[in-house]
Amino acid sequence: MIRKLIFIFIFSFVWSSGWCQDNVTIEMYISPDTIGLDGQAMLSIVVKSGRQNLPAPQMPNLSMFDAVSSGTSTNISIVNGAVESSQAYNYILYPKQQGTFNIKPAFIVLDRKRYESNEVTLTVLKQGVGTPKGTQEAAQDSQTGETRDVFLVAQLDKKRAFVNQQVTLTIKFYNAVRLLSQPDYTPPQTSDFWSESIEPQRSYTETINGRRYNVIELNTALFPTRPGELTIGSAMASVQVPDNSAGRSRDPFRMFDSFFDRGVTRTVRTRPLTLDVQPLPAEGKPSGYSGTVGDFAISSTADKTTVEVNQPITVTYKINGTGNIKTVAEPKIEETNDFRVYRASSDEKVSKLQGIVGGTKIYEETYIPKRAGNLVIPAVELSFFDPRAKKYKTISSKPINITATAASLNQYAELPIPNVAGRVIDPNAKDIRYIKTDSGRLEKEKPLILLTPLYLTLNGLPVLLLAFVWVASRRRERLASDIGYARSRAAKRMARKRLGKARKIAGSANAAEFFAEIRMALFSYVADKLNISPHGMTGDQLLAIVTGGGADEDTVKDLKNLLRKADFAQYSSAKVSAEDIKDSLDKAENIMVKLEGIRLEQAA
Amino acid sequence: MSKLLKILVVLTIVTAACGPVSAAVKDSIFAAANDSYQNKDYEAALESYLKLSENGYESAPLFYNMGNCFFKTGRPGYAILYYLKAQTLDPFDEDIANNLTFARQFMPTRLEGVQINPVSTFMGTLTEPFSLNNLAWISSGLFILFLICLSWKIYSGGGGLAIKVILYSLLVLVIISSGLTTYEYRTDYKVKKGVIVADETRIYSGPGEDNDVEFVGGFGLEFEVESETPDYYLVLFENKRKGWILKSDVELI
Repeated sequence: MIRKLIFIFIFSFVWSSGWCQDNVTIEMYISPDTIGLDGQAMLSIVVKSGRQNLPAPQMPNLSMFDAVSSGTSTNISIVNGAVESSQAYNYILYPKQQGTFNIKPAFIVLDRKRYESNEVTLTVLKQGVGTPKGTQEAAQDSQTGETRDVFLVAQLDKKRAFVNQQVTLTIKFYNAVRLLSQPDYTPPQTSDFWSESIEPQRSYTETINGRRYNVIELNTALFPTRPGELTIGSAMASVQVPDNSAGRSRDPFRMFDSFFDRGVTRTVRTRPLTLDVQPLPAEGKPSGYSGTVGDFAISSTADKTTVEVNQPITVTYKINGTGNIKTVAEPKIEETNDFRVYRASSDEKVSKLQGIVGGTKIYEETYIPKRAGNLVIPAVELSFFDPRAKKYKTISSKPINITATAASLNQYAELPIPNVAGRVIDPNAKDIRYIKTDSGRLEKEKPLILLTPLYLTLNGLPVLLLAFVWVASRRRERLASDIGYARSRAAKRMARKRLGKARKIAGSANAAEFFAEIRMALFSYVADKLNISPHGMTGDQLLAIVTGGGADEDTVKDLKNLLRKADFAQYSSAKVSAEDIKDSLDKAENIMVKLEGIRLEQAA
Repeated sequence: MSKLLKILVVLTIVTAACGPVSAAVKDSIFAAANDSYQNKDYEAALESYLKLSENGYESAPLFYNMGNCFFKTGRPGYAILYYLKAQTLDPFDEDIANNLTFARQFMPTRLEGVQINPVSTFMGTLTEPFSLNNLAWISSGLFILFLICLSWKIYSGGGGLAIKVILYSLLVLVIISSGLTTYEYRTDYKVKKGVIVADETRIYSGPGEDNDVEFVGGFGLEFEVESETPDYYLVLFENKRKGWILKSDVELI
């Protein structure tokens, strides 16, 4: 275990310090390569490596120049986890004499290994010759013949180019006086070009027509998008410079003006430039060519070459070179009979080394073998037009031989997990988990219960129950608190009870008691309905109430006869026949039914 | 007559053999599919699982296993579709969540500008553990219990603090559960959701190939269906981009 930890520690240290990536390169550039004796040139030494904190390069002999360091610039890029660092050491060279000077290679020593740059040559002509004619003309006022204080110059490095070939536009701002503001720069119109700014801007001095100018240089890579005579518009810059018109004043306080001088605004423009853009030749154009221009290389690497069926192989395709890398078409990779193919990731890095746009595109494809055997991942082709050679080239990666073995049981594919921004991936997730052997509750799809009659009924019943309970509760409360209501509700029941009692008595031949119950049933019913006392109520009052309630004439007549018969039976000794009793009971019940159908009201 | 009888018998047997899977044999089909998967015959396993699915049977393990088969046979779009179906039935299953996450890693396109609605996220967290039917039963049960308690309180004519606390608690639970049920109904039932299953498909500005291509989407992208024509769905993606998509390139969850 401890050995493993030591190994991991050493490996991590070695990796982090870059020992595993020793691809160190050192290159030297000079710009321009021809200057006048009063001019200057920029010498750059660029060290590129997969590691950081490299030692500074050993400079060649520069005794034939006055060399001044203009600083270093560092560029670190991370492509698919691989770190690439490039550090540029810049020197301004002022020539001491005319001639052609060969500058020997710069070098660094790393891990006892010497890395050398290329040689460069600088030609120094006589004074003033190094400055382009256009710049000299721009520096001189054609009307007065005097040199200008500020001016702007635009130059192209080529007069003729192919479509999508890089052309470098250089804009130089010259000033020989103190500037009172930062130049307000407006770039030229480049609507027919795809442009890429090349940074950083450079600052140096240049002597033109015997006058020393400070120069700010901006470079832009332009890629023409169509053939024809294309125009690059005027660039413009505005800047505040001291007002020299009052410079001849004899005012003794003139010396203090510089503190408060707001100066005058000078606006300078470049002349429009034209570029002759040639179409790409039709001759030799490969089939499937998609417009890539530049000089590129393609390579492919596989993370393993022996796998089981259904296990993935990650193949990394790397396209790098110079040219408009963003327009490089991605390689056509199609599924084969032997592999399933998935795009795992892609990355792009644009480089602008010494003003040349290029870069790297990386595509990671996942190949999953479908069958066992010796399989081949086919080569991938890339076609481009090389503007230097003026011809089309088709390059291809090398085919990769894969040995796919039969998969063993219970062995799952270990698929790669690409990094996706914003997504947190469980680092333990290496494959899909195994199937479930238990089918769970394997049932037919259930309908939505919400809309079924059962659900609606089930929820409706408690509502009905609540309504019933509420009504019953209210009735019970009223019965308890309202005696009249309680008597009225109980009237029918009480009357029926008395009629039942009368029916029982009917067979006992006690007519007086029978009719007393009949009479009491009728009087009590009406009295309960009206919440009055039945005692003291006369037959006439009863008849008046019934008549007032809207009873029909037959009912009133039957009631009258029944009351008379009851009085007769109670207060006379005459015998009442059984038929009379039965008839009276029927009539009493009939009258009761009729009375239930009318609304009784107390007579006035 | 006897010939006609024979034809009827044969027809009955054929219908029984090819017709809907009976409840008795569903488990044996599932087990046979599992065996095929175990033997890495994913196509045969998928065929058996599909037979159950096509006969209307569903369960989280069935859809999960179908997702695995689709993944193993190189159809990750369908795998994501069936993992999502399984997750609808069993939102808490870790295996489903794991495999869904894993399959999504192979999605060729990602949506940019997806904004998370905190209210929807919160409601989704609350409703996630329950299916719509479960929520409906829960809210119904609470509603019935609440009404019975209220009826009892009214009938008994009073009730102390305890019955009031119970009633108010039940009322709050009824409101919450009904709200969640309504939310689930509106978001998961009324709204049709789908996923792209084709490796790559175009999303048009109108229902037809003669319209502008808004963008190109890859398998695994989920969407909501807003309307449809015979051949196209008008869909809304998570980043609120809309477009018309060919029906044959997608499946509804």
